[in-house]
Amino acid sequence: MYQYIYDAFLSEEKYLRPMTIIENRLADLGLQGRVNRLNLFKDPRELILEGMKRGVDTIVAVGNDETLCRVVNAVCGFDLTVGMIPLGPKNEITKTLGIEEGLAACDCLSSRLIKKIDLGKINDVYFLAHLKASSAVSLRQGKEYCVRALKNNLVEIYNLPTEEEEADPEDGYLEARIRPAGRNFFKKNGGKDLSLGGTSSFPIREIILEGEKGARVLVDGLRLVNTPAEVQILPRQLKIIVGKNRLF
Amino acid sequence: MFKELYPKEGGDVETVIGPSVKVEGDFTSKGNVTVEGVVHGSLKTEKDLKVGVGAKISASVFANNAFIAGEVKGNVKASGRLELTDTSKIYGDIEAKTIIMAAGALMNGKCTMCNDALPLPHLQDNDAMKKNNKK
Repeated sequence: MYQYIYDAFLSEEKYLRPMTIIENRLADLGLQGRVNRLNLFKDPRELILEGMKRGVDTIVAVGNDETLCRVVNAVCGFDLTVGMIPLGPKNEITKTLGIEEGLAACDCLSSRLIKKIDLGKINDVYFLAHLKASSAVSLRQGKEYCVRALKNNLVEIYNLPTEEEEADPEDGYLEARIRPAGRNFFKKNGGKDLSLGGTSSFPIREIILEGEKGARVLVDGLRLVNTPAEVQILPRQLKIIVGKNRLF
Repeated sequence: MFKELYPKEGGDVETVIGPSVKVEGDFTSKGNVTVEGVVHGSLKTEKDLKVGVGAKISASVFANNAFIAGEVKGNVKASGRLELTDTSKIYGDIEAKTIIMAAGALMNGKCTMCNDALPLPHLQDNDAMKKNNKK
């Protein structure tokens, strides 16, 4: 049985028509289920617990990356499959998962191509795609070793790949990348110098990010976490429905 | 990104210590390691090690095969092949099954060659390794 978690922004008028089309398509495919709408006062975990009591085994986030991340944080620890129907802006993670917008997402849901992927965790927050440090941070592996990046270096940790970065969400490792933050305005990616020269790469399972006072880490491009922060990988923790055009 | 250098086998993970990074402590890896930056402490890998021209390692080094073009202050042990290029500088003892040394390579230390492959770092007793490092 399916449970659909709609993001609050989908109640805007411009999403009414696309939502109707999607709901009709889901009905045609026989994928109807419980529908819940998120708002500031609703905890998705409570909605999911209620759904589980009624036999829900698949939670579908309807919205953008933020919706997906809220759902993923809520389902962690339960034996549930997560699906996604992307709508609206900021849908980078769903592109990586190979899920297209609109009706194609319904077909993707129907085909139920399920992958068990790794999930990252920083302090108490689960993340799907990546971490990006706002300033130079060090990576400490227990008492064994410490990786210190020079100033003006960017520290990024990937679970899912992007169009520019390789990572395998099924290998049981996170990929830490440290690169000089040289800027080149003739390059793509906001001028970030993505040339391989000078880039460090560390496969990690568990690490502590330490930074200067006020150093913060951007989680999945959505929320900030202060340092020091403990980062770890939870191998094959998340069952997620993916598309054929996924990047891994 | 280093697929050409090291074809990736199942379960292998690759580490690159770039020129803008300094590693302090006992660094261990199960995959191939490339060093272009600075390492202080010890460096162990079950696979292959490549030390670039600009790299500076002040550590005891253990690897399966090692290719060294930079500077190493410490003992180097390779259970297979150890290759020193003309730009390499080793201040310490080296031990390997096969040693290839280019003209111009600088090596100040004892050189030991074994018929049998040296035991991999992870198979050695930790206390024994510490004693060897002190020597």
